[in-house]
Amino acid sequence: MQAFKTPKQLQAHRKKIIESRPADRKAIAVCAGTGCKAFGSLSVYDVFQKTLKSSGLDKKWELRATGCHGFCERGPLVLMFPSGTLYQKVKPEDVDEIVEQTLVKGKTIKRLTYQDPVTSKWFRREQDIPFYKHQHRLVLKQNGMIDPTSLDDYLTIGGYGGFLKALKMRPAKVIDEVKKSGLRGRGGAGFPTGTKWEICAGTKATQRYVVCNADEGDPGAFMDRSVVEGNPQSIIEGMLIGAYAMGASKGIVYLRQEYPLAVQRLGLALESAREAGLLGKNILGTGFDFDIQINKGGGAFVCGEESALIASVEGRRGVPKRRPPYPAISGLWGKPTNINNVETWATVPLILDRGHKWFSSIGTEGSKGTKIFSLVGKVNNTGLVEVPMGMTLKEIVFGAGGGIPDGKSFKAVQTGGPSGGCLPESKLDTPVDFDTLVQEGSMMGSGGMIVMDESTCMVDVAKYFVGFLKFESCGNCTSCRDGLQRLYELLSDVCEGRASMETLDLIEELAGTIRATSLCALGTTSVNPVLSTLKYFRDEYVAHVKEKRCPAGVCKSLITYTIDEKNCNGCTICAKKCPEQAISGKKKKLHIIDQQRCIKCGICKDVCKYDAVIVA
Amino acid sequence: MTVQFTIDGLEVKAKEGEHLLDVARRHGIDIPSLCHHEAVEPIGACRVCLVEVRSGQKTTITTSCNFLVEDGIEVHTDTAEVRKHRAMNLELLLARAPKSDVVRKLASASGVTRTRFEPLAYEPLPNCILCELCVRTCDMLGHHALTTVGRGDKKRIGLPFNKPSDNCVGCASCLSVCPTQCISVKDTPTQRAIWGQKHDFILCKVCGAPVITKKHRDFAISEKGLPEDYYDTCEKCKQSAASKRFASVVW
Amino acid sequence: MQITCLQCVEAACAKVCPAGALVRNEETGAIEVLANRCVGCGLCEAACPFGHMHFDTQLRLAVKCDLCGGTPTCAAFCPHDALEIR
Repeated sequence: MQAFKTPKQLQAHRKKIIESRPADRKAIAVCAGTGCKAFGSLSVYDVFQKTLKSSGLDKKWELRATGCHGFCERGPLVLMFPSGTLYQKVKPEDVDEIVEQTLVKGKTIKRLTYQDPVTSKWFRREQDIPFYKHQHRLVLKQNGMIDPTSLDDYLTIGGYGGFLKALKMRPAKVIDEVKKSGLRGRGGAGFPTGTKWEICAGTKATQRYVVCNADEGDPGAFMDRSVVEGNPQSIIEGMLIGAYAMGASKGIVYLRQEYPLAVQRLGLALESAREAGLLGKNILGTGFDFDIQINKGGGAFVCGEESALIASVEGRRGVPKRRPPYPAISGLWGKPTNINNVETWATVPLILDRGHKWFSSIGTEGSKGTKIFSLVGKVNNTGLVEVPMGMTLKEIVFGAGGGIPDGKSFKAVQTGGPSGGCLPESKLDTPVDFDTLVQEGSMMGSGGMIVMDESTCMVDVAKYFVGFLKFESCGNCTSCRDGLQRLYELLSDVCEGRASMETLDLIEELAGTIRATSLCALGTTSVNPVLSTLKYFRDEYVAHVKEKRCPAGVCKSLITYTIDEKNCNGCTICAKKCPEQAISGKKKKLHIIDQQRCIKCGICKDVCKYDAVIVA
Repeated sequence: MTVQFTIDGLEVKAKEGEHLLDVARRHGIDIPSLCHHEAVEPIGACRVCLVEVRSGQKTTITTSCNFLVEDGIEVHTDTAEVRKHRAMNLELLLARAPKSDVVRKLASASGVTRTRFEPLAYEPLPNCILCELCVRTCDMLGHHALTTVGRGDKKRIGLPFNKPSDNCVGCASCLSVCPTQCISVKDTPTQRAIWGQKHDFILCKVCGAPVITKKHRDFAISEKGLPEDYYDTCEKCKQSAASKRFASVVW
Repeated sequence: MQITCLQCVEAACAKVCPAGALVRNEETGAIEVLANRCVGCGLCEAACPFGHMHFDTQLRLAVKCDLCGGTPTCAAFCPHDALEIR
């Protein structure tokens, strides 16, 4: 790549490349995000490459290994342009057929297209599939269109247009643009991004920093990971715009070491941006200096908290510090530091490129734009969904998510990661935005969304998340460190049938103190799963306490496995699979479970084809 | 810059950048705390020094030790909310350090005489409340020998990687500042045992009594620049030597 | 002969104190221990050349003569007027 010396040179190159690659050119995008890679998408890509080459089709068809398309459950995904045909669960042995039938003859291979598990309808085009149809993809859409290692690919879809526009404005005007767009931080707290930039820029200093928080630690969440892996240049461009607006010369991306592909892709992207003269000294001859370094985090959940993140970057233990002073005034090494989340940075170029009016036309009064959620759990379509702010939980879970699998009924959805609240069916009409979710006892968080069905025990869920957070607490505050430990013990008492109604009162009392008196957001929000389940699913707690019964049949101490006389036909499979040899019975005779030996692992229930194993 | 606000109705003035607890104590208002020490930076670990701060429409419960004072705020140190949460945090600490007199006294002042939580088997430092005063003091002194190990419910105080540390000079300041006195320091006439390590004492050149550990003296000489012979005699022998010297001058 | 703290002009105790806990009281001229700042390291005791810095092993704090805030009780109570303040 040539080094661009002026904005004009970059603009000319962009124009040239956009013209040379018409939007309707033929292309195959094989998803090489982490999920599809795990399904073997790289071998699919390899076979495509060989087949296209040997058949000479590589001149006609452009082949791309792209970032995550979001529909991870159905990987490996192969998307074709410009037709929009989406093939899912593609195997390497399918490639020949795809080339022959679809690429050459233009025919659709029905079995590789998506069939809705609920309506049994078939869909050829990506945009028609309910999972995608309900989405409004601004940030994620680009993932499917580019090879994340290619700067030219990013330029083709309009990349660096936002930065070029920013360079024509005064820094204060750039901040103003972000402010007017109504963009709020995507990391969880939802602080207005433009205001944060303004404070940072307004603090007198010789050195300022911009930081990208890519320390995504929520169990089951991978929004940030997918953006860094799939479109690293968008983060670099966002940070460039921010650095220009705030007068920062150094940028840091705090990225989890457990995301090796993200580390690698971002590293490559930084190199090519440097080669192109988009990072370094005197960028595009404007006199603006800026460069970015990657700081790998060790995987502590608490390091996503900004003051702990700063401590970690400085080489200290990742322990949160009291704010104020806020990082925008005194952050890294005491200098004004602006910390934004991956999604926020990736959104900034779009706002600059298309204008604040366009952005603020999406979303609600108080929450503008779109938000990516990691939709997982007991839902038909798991994966990443990007929806406009204000969409209801119902539309997300039942629209994009396609509802609950196996004919089971919906019980709750947890938003906002491990410290989010669990909302019941009666709250499904809640619009998803920063303020409403908090009002309902949950939060936006960084965008985790876990769906639970009737087979989920809400006490067990609360216990699980408290267990996670007590392990991840930095241990600074008595209330969080000891409080969560004690809360975990009390919840275990409930799950194991040792609790009384006083235990529930103590749980509530203790949770109140943890929320009111802990220093950072990890502590203050940690009790959301407990308080929200106590509020919306109190009857389940009471059943555990008073009747010593787990209504969902999850808590091992309160359930027994027995075999139903009527349904058991003596097939012996349960006896064979029982790891404890707790099941006895002759062939074609009723089997019996020895309760002394049974460890309640549930394998017998899973293997029985005749629904003869009863949990009560 | 000076800021002006009220604590329990009392008008007080303070410098910008001061912490609320220091200002309150200067004005004779007692706020209980366990992890605060004037020699080191506050971290808000024990969550006992809670107060209620009203600012405009907003009322928050917060620790006072690390709260930077603001102009016009209204601070209340003894509201029902404050008492409730302080009592709960003290109950948690009482379960952690049931044998500590300091914790028991503070807890009972908050009406907590027993804890509803199971006793915590806390090794290797029974009664440690993880206030980190030892770690902060060790850092402030420039030794950097102590640290917290692990996180969450596994957090402990100890030497890095639980290995003997060259940085520890055996000064025992960690014990001096420890509110629950849970750190073990054992002195013999010639050695001090602390943090699983043994340190030789400098012995008084007159009577042979221990003066200070060798490593501590070496640290002091290199850091503070006093001559070596300042550290070679014990307190009593120095006193009598000084008396004799003065007597010979006067008479 | 009994002597007490000389309140040295260049006080070794204050010089070695790492916590800034030994400070001269400008009114009385005495060097005083700020008990809330003292971290009990014992350096001052080892450093005082006259043996008048004392480390209290019970309180684990430094203790010294502060001239009783300007009116030393030792002088007031001496039955033979052997002590005087000048």
